Amino acid sequence: MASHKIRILHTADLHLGTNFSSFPDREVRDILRGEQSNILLELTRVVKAEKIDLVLIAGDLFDRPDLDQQIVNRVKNNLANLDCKVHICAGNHDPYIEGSFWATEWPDNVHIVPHTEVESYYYEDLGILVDSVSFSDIYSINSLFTAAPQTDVPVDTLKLLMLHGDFGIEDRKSSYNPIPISSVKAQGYDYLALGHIHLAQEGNLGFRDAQYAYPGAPQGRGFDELGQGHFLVGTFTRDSGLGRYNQEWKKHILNTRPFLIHEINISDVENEHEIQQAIEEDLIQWQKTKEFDLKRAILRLVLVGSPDLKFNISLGHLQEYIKSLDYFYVEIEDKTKVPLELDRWSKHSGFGQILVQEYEEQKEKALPEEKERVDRALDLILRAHERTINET
Amino acid sequence: MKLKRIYIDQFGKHNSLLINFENNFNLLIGPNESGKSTLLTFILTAFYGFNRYSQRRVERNERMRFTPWSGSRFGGHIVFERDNTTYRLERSFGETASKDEVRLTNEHSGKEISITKRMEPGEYLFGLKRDEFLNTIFIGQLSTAMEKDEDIRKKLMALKGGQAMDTSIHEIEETLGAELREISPPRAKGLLQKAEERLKDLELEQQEAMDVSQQARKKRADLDRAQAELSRIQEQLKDLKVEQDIRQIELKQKEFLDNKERLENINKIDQQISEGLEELSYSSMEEMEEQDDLSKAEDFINRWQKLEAQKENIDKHNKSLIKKQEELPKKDELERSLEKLNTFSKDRRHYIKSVEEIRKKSDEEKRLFTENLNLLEQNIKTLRLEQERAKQRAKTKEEHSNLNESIKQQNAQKIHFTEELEKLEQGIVEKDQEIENINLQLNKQLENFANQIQQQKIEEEQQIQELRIKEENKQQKIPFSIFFVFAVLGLLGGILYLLIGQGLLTITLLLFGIALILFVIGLVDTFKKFKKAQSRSSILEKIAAIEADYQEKRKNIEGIHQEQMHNLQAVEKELKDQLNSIDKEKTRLLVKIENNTNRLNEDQNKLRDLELQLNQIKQNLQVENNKFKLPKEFENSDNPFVTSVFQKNYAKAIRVLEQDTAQNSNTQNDLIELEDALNQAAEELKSYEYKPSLELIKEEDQTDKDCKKLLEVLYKPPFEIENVDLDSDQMENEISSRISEIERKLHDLEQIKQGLKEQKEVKQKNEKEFLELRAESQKGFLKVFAACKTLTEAETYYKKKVQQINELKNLHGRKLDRQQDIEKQLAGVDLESLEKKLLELDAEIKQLQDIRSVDYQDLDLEVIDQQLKKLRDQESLWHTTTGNVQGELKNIYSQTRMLQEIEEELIHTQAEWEKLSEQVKDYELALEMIKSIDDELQKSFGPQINERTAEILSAITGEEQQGILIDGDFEAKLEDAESKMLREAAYFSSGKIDQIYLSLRLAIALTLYSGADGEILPFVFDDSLVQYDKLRTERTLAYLKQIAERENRQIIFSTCHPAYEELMDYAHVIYLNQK
Repeated sequence: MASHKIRILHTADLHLGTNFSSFPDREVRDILRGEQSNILLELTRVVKAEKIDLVLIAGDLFDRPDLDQQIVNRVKNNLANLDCKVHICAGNHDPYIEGSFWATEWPDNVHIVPHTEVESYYYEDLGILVDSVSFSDIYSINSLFTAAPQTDVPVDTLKLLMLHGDFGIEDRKSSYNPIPISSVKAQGYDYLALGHIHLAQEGNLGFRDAQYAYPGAPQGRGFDELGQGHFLVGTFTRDSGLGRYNQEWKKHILNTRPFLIHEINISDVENEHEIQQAIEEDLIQWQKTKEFDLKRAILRLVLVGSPDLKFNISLGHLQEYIKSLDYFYVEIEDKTKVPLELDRWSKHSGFGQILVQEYEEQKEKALPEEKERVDRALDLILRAHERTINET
Repeated sequence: MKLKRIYIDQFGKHNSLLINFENNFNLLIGPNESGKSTLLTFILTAFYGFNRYSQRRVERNERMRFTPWSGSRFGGHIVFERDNTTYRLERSFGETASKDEVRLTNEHSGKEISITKRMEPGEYLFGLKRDEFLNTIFIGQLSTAMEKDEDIRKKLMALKGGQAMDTSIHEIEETLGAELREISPPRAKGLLQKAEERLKDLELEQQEAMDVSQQARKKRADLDRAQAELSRIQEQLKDLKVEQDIRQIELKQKEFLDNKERLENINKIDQQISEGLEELSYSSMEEMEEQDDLSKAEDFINRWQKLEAQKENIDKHNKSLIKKQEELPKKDELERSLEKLNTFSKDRRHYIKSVEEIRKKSDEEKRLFTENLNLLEQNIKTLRLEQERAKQRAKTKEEHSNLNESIKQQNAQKIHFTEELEKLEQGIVEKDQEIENINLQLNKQLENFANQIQQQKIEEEQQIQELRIKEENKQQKIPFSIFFVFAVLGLLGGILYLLIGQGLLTITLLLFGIALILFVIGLVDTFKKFKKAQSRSSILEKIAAIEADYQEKRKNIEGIHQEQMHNLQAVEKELKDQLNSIDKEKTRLLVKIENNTNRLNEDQNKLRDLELQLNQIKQNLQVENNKFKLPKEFENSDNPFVTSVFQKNYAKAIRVLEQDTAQNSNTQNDLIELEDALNQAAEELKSYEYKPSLELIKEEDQTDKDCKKLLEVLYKPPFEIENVDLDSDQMENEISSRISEIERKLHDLEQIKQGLKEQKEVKQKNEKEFLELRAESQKGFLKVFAACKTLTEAETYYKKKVQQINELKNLHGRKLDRQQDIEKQLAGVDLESLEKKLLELDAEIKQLQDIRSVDYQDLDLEVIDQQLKKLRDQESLWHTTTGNVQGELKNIYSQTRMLQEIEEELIHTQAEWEKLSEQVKDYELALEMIKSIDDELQKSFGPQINERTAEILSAITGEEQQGILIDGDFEAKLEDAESKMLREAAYFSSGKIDQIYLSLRLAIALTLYSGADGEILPFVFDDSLVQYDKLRTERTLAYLKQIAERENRQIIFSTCHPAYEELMDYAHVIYLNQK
């Protein structure tokens, strides 16, 4: 077994069955829902291409514990088609509940980790031991992983720990299975497969080259989960000299729709047409830096700068315009400011002079942390002033 | 206003001082202590007196300062021109204000102008209070900060209100307020409140999710308990089942034993059956079945008994039939009655049918009439409606024509007004022409005068010129005194020759000679010159006389000219007055015309509306006419009602209306006629009653006649009946019941007859059968009854035999039943195998007894069964419970969203809420700022004063224009060039402050006290630029000059610096130290 390579695919937080209710457009929701299940098809391809031995799904495979049986059945079918073993633990979104879909029959190659205790599952043919525990509830203030169970397996067994929860919590409290590093560090595991945090992160456990990783969510579900997701593909090679496994990880980037936030400075524009142009050009420039098609992405464009406009920017109109350029989903936020030309204002007799005076006084009077508020208040006044001027 | 002259009789150090001012710039120069300020104070006190409102002591001091040493009255007068009129203001001061005397007179007419005692002439003339005067146009030496003058402030504020500011603070405030309200309105739910609520909801939801989780845990515990209970029950069930099995096996054993016993019993019965058969001399049951003797005997006995019974029955029946026959009446009697009744019935029906037909016809007629009547009434209603419409139409038309009339009148009026206007304009043109003519004339005259003067002047000047030329010619001749010089030169030359010594004496002598000659000539020339000088002075005198003469003449001519000019101006003024009045008249007419036109437009609009209304009515009429219908039969009816109502009134009404519709016009008369017709028609309709038509009556009579004969019969029915109508249903019933009764009786009679006949036949048959049976019995009995000789014997034997057979059959049946039963239970098992089975069961019991954990031996099977049943119930109950709990657990989270999702939204909403709160604070600060800006602006006088002050300051200082803000207390703030911040005036140098306030005063004075309807008042400066450097002074003076020129404003400027005279070469200079 010395030269044998073990190939593991690690993923988590697929949240299948999410309904994307934050998108007001029904068509968009339907598309996103439909695309979610594509992740499993991609999984099938990767497993075949990478000759994966074992797939680890570290919790939150599903978005809810009471999903439609249809969705679960589709997943079962997809997993049954995988030419490898699949090890799944339940997360806080899909806790293992008596009578739930976890308690139903799953394909032979799929193992569901029970929720009652920490389970040691030994794949004798692969020489892999997976310790794991499932969530039995939608939250868990206490650490689910209490201690590694004692098992009698050969010395050269690859030892994995798969947990869903907040890793690295030492003193801070968490409602989602806090996992102090100390509790897992020196337990003899080669790799800690984590789930729950949607932002990918990885590191060294600081014990015999053992590593840990959150693979992140393969498909973002909002603007707090930006960019493209991936699967982690690891190769373990036994170093009999050191008596441990060398591991090598790579990311298999998924062709899912990314959520992206992008700022566009429109300080130099003077009219609506120029705003449209500025955005369009900026998008073209931005596209050049990206490998995937931005038109597929879910975009939030933030307008910044201080253009000298005599009107209010019509966001809806702009949004429609960008959509008409075949962008899948665009929302636009206006964070522009009215240009602050105190010189010009101070030349204004009456109002302008006093406004500048008042501004300076307030600014001087304000506490350091409130100084920006004075700027904002001035901006509000100037906006209101422009509006009243435009109305009259 | 222009000051013309001041005369100080006695005031301070001045006495008998007369000063004339010019219209534009007056420069009063005098050294210190020369009384410049006193002079200016006199101007102030002449217009306003001494300040009575300040402290007495100061006032007294001020008064004392200007009181002459002698203590006598002091004062003087000011002559000034205002609105082309010259006034004279005289004032003499006493010891106190009450002793002061003021007099304002028209300088020309000397007429006194009365001023209320409470008012100083300055207030009366300028509309300025004393302080206002001092704060604006009277600018003293130190023009630092202005006094807080409420009157000026009020005027400035009023000025501010009158002009629009570039930005409405309130609009900004409103916009901000509206935006803030969107986030956080005072009462309704805003975004902030919604976020707050959402937060609360989310916290609740979070709690709920936790609760659900708690519930799930509880459920899970319940599930564990239920599952434990279930397994306990299942254990118990198992034991009980074993026990039950044992008991059942034991039961089976017992059953086997029973069967064994039964088998033995059957064998016993078999033996008994064999014995019975033997007795009955049958070898087996089968043989017994085969014998039919007994049944034959039975049959015979039965037949005999039946015949006996039949015979008896026939007799009985015959008797009853005969009795019935006797009770019924005779047949022919009944038939007669029936015929009578039938005839009556037929006649009656015929009659009723005839009557009904007539009634039907009458009803139809009535219905038709009622329908028509209704139609008529409806039509009348429609007609009334139309009548209303017609009235309406007439009214609308009248209105229409009235309006037309009014429009015509107004048009006429308009034309009239326009004509008048044209006339007036003609007048204006004429007047303009007149003025033009007069002007032309005047100009001509002026030209003449000017020519005259010019000519005279030219002449005179020519004269003077000639004289001058003459004299100058004389002067220009070479002066003869030059001969002396040559003489001396000759002499000197001679001497020189002589001195050199070597010269020729002749030449020397010659030179001397020439010198001598020249000397003589010089003497003669000098004499001549003296003579000429004498004659030149006389010529100069002459020239002076001519010039004086010329000046006098010119003055005369100018006097005449001026007089004529005055006259001309008067005429022109009169004409202008006339023009003005014409203009006023014109304006009045234009207003009238405009009003008239407005009214006209209004009326025309009304007219259009009315026409629309008329069209509408017309359309309605068309629609209503289409609805209108007339019953056909009314048009050519001979019914008197129809004739009276329809043809007379109704048709008339329709005609009137049709006419109206057709011509679209009607007269009042038509309407009245229509009204009458309709009323009459309605009246007659009301009185109308239905009367049958003649035809109907005729037909009725005929029917009566036809039925007369019948009636005679009919009213006497063939039965007795009281108070029943012939055509009533009761009669019908009576007749038919009677007929059917008779028919029934007839039928009965027939049947009885038939019955009697049949009975006769039956009796005969019965008797025959008896005979046959008797013959048969005499032939002897069958084999079985061989021993029996009579029927009775046979009967007894038969009974005994039958009993024996039945017993045997019964026994055999019982045996067969039992046998079947056992065979079923044993299923073909014989006794031997039964024994074996029993042994097996014993072994089984023993085995089961070993399995069971609890011994239920003391319990009955029944109890065990009961317990089992109970346990099974419990089991299924617990099973259901666990299933339910599992199901509940499975779906428990469907009640809530995922906790994490809620918490994420909670964080999100919290952030949102904080953002909104920040925004609210931003808005509040913005509003606060706006409010304070508003307050600040309220205090200041707005941009006009600020800008004007800034402009003047820039003009005075020559610096770039800086922002200036003047607040309500006349405190000025100036923009600091470096920091661009507005700073209090005190921040700047005193020189600058002086300039700022001078600028402010001028700005206020120029803003408030100049313009179209405001009197342009003189500015008085009392050495105001004393602190200024030369450059600023020059700039200030240049600015003042500009004002003076631009506004034709008189400026009186006093200074102690003689250098000003040089600076202001354009000014009228008054030296105060030189009287």
